[in-house]
Amino acid sequence: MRNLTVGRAAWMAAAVALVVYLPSLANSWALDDISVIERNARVHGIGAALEAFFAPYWPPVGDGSPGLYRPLIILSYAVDWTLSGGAPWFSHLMNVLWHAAATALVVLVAAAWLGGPALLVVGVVFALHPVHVEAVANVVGRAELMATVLVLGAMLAARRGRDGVAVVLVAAALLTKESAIVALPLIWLDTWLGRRSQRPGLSLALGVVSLAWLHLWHAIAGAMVLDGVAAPLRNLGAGERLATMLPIVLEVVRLLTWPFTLAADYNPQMIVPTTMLTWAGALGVAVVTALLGLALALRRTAPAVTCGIVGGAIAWGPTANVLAPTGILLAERTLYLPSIAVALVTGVIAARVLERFPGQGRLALAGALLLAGAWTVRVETRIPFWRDSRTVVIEDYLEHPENYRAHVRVGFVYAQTGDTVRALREYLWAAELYPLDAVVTVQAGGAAMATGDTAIALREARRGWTLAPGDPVIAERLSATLAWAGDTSAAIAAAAAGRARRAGVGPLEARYLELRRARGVDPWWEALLVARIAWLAGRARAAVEQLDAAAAQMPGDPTRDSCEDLREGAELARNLQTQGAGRLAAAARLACSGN
Amino acid sequence: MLNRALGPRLAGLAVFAAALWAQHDGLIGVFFDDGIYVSLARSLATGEGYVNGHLPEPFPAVHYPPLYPWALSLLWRVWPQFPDNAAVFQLFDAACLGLAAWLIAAHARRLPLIPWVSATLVTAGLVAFPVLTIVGVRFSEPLFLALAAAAIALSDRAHRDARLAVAVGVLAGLATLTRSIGIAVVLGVALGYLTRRRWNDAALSTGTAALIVLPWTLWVWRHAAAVPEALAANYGTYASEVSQAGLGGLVHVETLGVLLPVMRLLLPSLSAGLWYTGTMLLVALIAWGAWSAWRSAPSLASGATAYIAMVALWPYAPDRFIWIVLPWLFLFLALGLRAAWRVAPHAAPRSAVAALAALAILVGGAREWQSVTTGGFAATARGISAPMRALIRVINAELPADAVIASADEALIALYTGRRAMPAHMFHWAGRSTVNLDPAATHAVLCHAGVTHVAVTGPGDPAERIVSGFEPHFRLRDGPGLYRLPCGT
Repeated sequence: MRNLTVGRAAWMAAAVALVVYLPSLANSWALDDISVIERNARVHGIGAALEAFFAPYWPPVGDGSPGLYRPLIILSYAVDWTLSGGAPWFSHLMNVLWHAAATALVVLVAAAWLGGPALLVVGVVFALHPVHVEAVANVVGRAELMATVLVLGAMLAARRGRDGVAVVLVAAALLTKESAIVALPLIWLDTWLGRRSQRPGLSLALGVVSLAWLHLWHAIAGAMVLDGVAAPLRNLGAGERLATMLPIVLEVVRLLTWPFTLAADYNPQMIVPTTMLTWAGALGVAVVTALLGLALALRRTAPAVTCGIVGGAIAWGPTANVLAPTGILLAERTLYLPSIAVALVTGVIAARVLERFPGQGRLALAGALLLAGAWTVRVETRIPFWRDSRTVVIEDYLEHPENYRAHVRVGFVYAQTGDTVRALREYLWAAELYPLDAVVTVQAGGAAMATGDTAIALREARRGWTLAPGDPVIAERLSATLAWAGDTSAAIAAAAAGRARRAGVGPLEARYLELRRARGVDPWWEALLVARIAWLAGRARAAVEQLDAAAAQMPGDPTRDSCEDLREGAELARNLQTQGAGRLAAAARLACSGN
Repeated sequence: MLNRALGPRLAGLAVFAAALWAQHDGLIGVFFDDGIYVSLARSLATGEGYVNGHLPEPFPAVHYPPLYPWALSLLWRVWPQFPDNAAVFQLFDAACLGLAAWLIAAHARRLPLIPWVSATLVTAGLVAFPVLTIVGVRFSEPLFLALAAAAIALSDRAHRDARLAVAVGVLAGLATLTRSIGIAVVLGVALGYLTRRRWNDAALSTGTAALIVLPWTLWVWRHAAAVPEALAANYGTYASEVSQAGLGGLVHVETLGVLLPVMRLLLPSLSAGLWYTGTMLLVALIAWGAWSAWRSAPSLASGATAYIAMVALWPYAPDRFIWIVLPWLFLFLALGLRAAWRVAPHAAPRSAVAALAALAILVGGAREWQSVTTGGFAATARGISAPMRALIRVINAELPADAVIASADEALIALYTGRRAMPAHMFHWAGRSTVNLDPAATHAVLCHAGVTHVAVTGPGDPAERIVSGFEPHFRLRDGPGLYRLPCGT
C-alpha cells in the first residue's frame, strides 16, 4: 500500500464508486426524471437537444418555465436516449460512470498534499459518502456529477498551467449547472494553497466566461431566474435569509459527517425556518467560525484540510441562499461537491494516524473498513429509495411525516388518482405543518371544491389571497372558489381586485368576464370587457367595435358598480379615439361620481 | 501580481461587464440602422444573400458594409429564433467593446501616462453613457472599434516587419468593411507609417486594405443601379448620396462642431461665452494631447485625427460617430493637461489646468451617475419600443401574413411581424440637408411597392404626412396608429 501511486489510487477509488452504485441500474425514472427526461421530447434525440440548446432547462409549462439553463446536461440525456432507446438503466449507468470519474478527480486534487494510502482513503470516502445517493441514483442528479467533474478538471488543468483547457472546462461546467460559478474561487483557493502565483490572465478569462454565461442565462431564463423560490425564503431580505440559513448549517455539517438519516428534501418542519437569530443560529455561526478558523490555522501544515473546508464552503455557497434565494432550503444533491471537505479531512487524519502510529496499520485499516462498511450499507439501503416516483413519495412520507412537502406530494398523487378526500386531508396536513406556502392553499382549495367542502375551499382561497395578494393565479383561484361557492359578487370583487393588482393577465381577465356574464351583465358592459380583452390580444379593430357598441347601448344612468369598468373602458376608448369615447367618459364620470 | 498587462485586461473585463449590464429590453431596430443590420444578417443566414430582405422587392444592400451583418449571420445560424437570439448579438457586441478596451488600454502604455491612469481613462471612455447607449443596440461600432484599435496599435509597433504591415492592412480593411468611415483608419495608419519614413509599410498596409475592400467596392459598383430611384437616399450608395448632395454638402460651418457632443458631456451649463471659452480650451488641450501622442504613438494620433476629420465631413450629426473614440479623446485630453501642466510657468496657470480637469471629471461623472442610476442611457430605445410594441401586437393579430407595411422603422416592423415593410419616409439630399418626397409621390411609390398599410409611431412621425385623411385601422391618442393605404385599382 505504501507504494500506491496516485493513478492507481484514483483507479481503485473509481472502481469502488462504480461497484457500490451498480445496484442503481435497477432504478427507473423518479420525480423530476419524468418531466426532464422521460416525457421531454427535447432529450429524445440529439438533434432535438441541439435545437433546444438555447432553451430553458425545464420543459415549457403554462406561461413559462422556471429559470434554469443547462443545455449540456440536456444534451447528455439526449445522448443516453439515443444510445439506449430510453432505457433507464443506461442513464443510471452513465450516472455511475460520472460518479466514478468525479471520485478519481477528487483523488487527483488531493494528490497535491497527500500520498499513498491516504489518497485511497480520500477517494473511498468520496466514493461511499451516503449523501451522494440522491445525485447518483436519481438520473437528474447528473447535473451535480458532471459539474463536479468539469470543475475539478478545470482546477487540475489550471494547476498544470493549461489555462485554455481550464477555461473550456469551466464554460462547459456553467452550461451544465449554475453552481459551477464557484470554479473561479476554487481555482484561486487551490493556487493559493499550492503557493503558486495567481495568473491574472486565467482569472480574467474565467471572469469573461462567467459574465457571458450569466448574460445568456438571464436572457434565456429571463424574469424567471428567481421564480420558484422556496416558500420559506420568499420576500426575505439578505439578512433574514442569513438568519434562516444559519441553523441549517448545523444540518449540513450533520449530513456531511453523520449521513445516516437522509431525506428527499428538507422543508418545514424538518427544518424550522426563522428569520430571528436563535440559539441554533448562534451555534451555526460558531460552527462556521470554528471551521474557517481551523482551515486558516492549518493552511500551511495541512493545506488539504483548508482546501476541503474552504472549498466545501465555497461549493455550497450558490445554494446557501444568502447571496440569492434558490428553490430549496437544503438538498442532499447540492452537497455532492461540498462533500470533498469530508474526503480531504478524513484523508489528512488517515495520513497523520499512519505517520504517528506506524505499527498500528491494521487497527487503522479496521477502523477505515468499519466506516466504509457502514457507509456502504447506508448507500445500498438508500439506492432503492430512488427506484421510482411512487417509492420516493411513499418512503419519504413514511420517513419524514414532519416534511410538509411530503404531504403535498402524496396529496398530489391522491388527487391524480381521483381520491380527493385523501388528497384534501394531505394538503390540509401540509398546511398545518407549514401554513405560509400559498401554493398549498391553491391545491387544498381545489381538493376541497372537488369534495364539495365549501367552508374549507373558501378558507383556503382567502388564506392564499392573504399570503400572496399580488399573485394573479391566487386571485383567479380565489375568484373561482367564490363563484363555485355561489357568492358571485364576492367572486367578481376578487377578480377585480386581482386585475387591479396585476392588470393584463389573460386568465384573470377571462375569469372576470365569465363571472360578469354569469351574473347576467348588460350587453354594453360586456362589450366593454370584451374590448379590453381584445385590445390586450392586439385586436384593435375588435376593441374599437366593442367600445362603439358599448357607447351606443349605454344607458343614461349606469350603476355605480360599473364605475371601474367604465373608467377603464373610457380610458381605452379615449386612447383608441373611438366615436363614442366622449359618451363613455361622461358615463364613467356619472357612475363614479358617488365613489 | 500587478504587472503592466493587468491594467488593460481589467479595463477590458470592466468594459465587457458594463456593456453586458447596459443591454436592455428595447426592440431591435429602434435606431433604424440596428434593425437593418439584423435584417441583413437574417437575409444572409437564410440564404437570401446580401439583400434588403425586409423590403417588398429586395435588392442588394449596397449602403451598409457587410462585415457586421455577416458576423451576426453566423450567430443567427447557430440560434435562429428571433428575437430570442438577440442575446448572442448582445454578447458579441459587448465582447467586441471589451476587446477594444483591452487593445486601446494596452496600446496606451506607449503614451507618457501612468499606466493605471490610461487604463482608467479608456474604461471611463467606453462606459460613458453615450457609449452604453450605442452598445445597448445592435450597431456596428463595437466591432469597428475593436478592428480599428487593433490596426492602430499594431501599426505603432517600432520594428519593421512586412507581415505586420500586411496584418495592419487586413485589420484596417476589415474595419472599412464594418463601417465605411474605416477608410479613415486606412489613411491614419498609412500617415503614421509615413511620418516615420516607413514607405514600404505604408504602401503594404494601404495596398492590403485596398485589396480587402476592393471586392466589396466592385460589388457595390455592380449593384448600385439596382436601388430604386425613390430609395436612393435611404438605401443607395454613398456615391449616390454625394451625387445628390454635391461635394459642397460635405463641408459646412457645422463641421467645426464635431467635438461639441463631447464638450456637452464634460462641461456644465454655463453662459454661452463661458461655455465656448471652456470648449475652446478643452479642444485645444485635446489637440495638444494628440500632438504629444504623435511622438510615441503616431498612428494613434493620425488615425484618431483622420477619423474625427472624416466625421466632421460626414453629412450626418456627429453624435453617434464621435462617441466611440471617446477613450482616445480622454487620453489626448489627459496628455494635453499633462503638457500644459509641465509648461505652465507658475502656480496660477497650473491651478487653472487642474481646475479644468477637475471640472470635466466632476461634470462628466455627475452626468454618468445620473444616467446609470436612472437607466437614462436606454431611455430613448425603451421610449421608442413602447409604441412599436403596440403596433407589432396589432399587426400580428389583425393583418394578413402578406400585408406590406410602410413605416419609419421598416426593418423593425419586418423583423418582429414577419411582414415585408417599406420606408414611409423617402427623401433626397440637397446640400447638407434633406428634402422629403412629397406625400402624393410617396403615396404613389408605396402603392407601386404593394404597401397595404402605413404604420405611425406617434405624433412627429414622418409618416403622419402621408396618412392625413386616411381612415385608421386603429390609432392611439398621442401614440401609434395603423392606416390602410388606399391605392387605386
